[in-house]
Amino acid sequence: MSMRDVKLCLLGDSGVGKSSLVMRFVTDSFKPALESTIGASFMTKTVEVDGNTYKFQIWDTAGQEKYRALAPMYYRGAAAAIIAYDVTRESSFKSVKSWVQELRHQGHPNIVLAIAGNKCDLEDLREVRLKDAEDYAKQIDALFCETSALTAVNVADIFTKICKKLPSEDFSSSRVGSTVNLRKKRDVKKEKKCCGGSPS
Amino acid sequence: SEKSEVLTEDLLTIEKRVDIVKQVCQNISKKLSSGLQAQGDTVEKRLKKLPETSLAHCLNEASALLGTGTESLLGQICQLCGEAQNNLAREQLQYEINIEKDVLGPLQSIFDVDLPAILKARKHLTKTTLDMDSAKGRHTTAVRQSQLPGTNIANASAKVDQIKEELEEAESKVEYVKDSLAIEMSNFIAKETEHSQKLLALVEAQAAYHEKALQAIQAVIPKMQRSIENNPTKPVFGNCLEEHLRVTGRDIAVVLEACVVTLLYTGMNEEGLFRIAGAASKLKKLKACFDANIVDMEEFRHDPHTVAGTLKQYLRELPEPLLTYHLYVEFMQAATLSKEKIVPALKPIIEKLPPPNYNNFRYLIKFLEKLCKSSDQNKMTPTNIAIVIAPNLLWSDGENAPNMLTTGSLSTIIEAVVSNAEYFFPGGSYMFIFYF
Repeated sequence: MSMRDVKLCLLGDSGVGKSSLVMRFVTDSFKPALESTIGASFMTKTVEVDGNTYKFQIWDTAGQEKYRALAPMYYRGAAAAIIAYDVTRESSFKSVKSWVQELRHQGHPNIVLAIAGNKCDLEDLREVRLKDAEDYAKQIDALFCETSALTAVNVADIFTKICKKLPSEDFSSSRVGSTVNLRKKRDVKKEKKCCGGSPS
Repeated sequence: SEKSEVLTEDLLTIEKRVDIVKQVCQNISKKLSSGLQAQGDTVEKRLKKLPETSLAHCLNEASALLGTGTESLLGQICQLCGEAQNNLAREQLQYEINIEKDVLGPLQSIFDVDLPAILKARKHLTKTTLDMDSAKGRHTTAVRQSQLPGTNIANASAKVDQIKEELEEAESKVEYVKDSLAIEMSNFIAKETEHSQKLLALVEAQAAYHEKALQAIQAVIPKMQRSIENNPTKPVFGNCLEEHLRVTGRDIAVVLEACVVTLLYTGMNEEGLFRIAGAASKLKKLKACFDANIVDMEEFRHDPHTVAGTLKQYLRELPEPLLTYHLYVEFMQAATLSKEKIVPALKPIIEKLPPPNYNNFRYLIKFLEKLCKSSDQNKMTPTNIAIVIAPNLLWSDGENAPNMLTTGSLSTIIEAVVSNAEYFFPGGSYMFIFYF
């Protein structure tokens, strides 16, 4: 049985619960008031899916960085990226779209994208509709789950789904690190909305 | 026959005065209009004549080439400066329009209206004076003829009377025209106040122009200052840590994080990391790339010594050491303590570090702690790493080169921190901790 290294990076706005998702996945624990990530943290976790072993190397990035200047260092060599948002904060879902655009432009073409709508336990405060996020994920061919690091719902699942979707050939180790560019443009164009529904 | 003087002495004096005023107005008008820069039929054409407009045009083209987002400070500045030049040009044009309307226009009416009226009256006077003189001549002749012998007295005296009547009429006409000329000229002279007002209007227009131009420029100065101040693409080496973090909106200095992440991927097992110097030219290149804000760490992936050297250089070039001047004495005092006492003594000092310094120091220490865990491969034990890193973290104010006398104390401090990283920076920050 072979073990496969999977570099994964977590992206998304500050406070959406990226570190909590990683904590839940790696140590199956939850801390209510986790301090905000400074720089980025790195953790590994080995899982077994369909008889194969996957060793996740997870870069958990800081969400508050204004210009995302170093983000490429974390996602360029990554085989998969989880872009997290907070279902109770519409603005964090908008950021998902800008991350998707950035990854499409700068990331590896075969990178497996997963979108995680975290804090789904806070149903009363919801601002992002499940269906909107689902439709968007489908449209860009990304995996999608609503998760809760608090209740652990769907947290392991999203990693399992990623394992299943990984292309058979490993490309992730080919390039690590990358361009640090504070000059790149940050204006994210709005995604063209699909008119929805198939032509009759 | 003898000719009458057209002008009496007083009128001659007035006429001289009129001539001088006319000359003065002519000169002013000429100089003033030749000083105007924006001449043409339309506003666009007039603006184009101004040097500010062409400078603005060039600046706008430059900003379009450079881009005006966060990618180019120069582009932003060109845009702002171009706006200022356009505003200046508009103020200049408005000034010139005002001068034309309030100064040159009224001056021109002197030449178009006042002076021609005087000239006309003057001509009229000459003519009527001539008429009068010829009437005089005829009258003299008629009188002489009437006195010749054999003349029909009655006829002659009737003729003399008739001519005399004509002469009187001519004389009163001259008188009348002379009065009109005197009125015209006096009125003209009386307008000196008005002419003076024109010059006041000129200076007022200049004052208004300078005021508005100053406003236009002053409005742009703080914008340009702010752009430069908040420029995220400022050179990073030698820039104050707090400032760097503020303009880039970061918690960890870009050089520190980029170097650490690269080393985590590729340098952790490298023997003598941070001790062996990288190639000087490579180090200079990486540094220059960081300052230009375009760095491809990929190029340095197989060159961990350059990356580590650049990190040390960055710390060394901070205007104030990461551990601050402020706490220098306290750190050095703690260094004199025994091995058991130094660790608890250092903790409160480290906690006094300002947040940006604390966060970056913690980040560095967490990384060094991890590096030391591979010391059987990289040979960098806490003692070794402290010796090479410590001089880049703390020095006293005014000290330019590493001080041999303090090197030992500095290493003691850093060795204590790296060896007890979990004690100094427990819990929450779990950077670079591996779970299996």
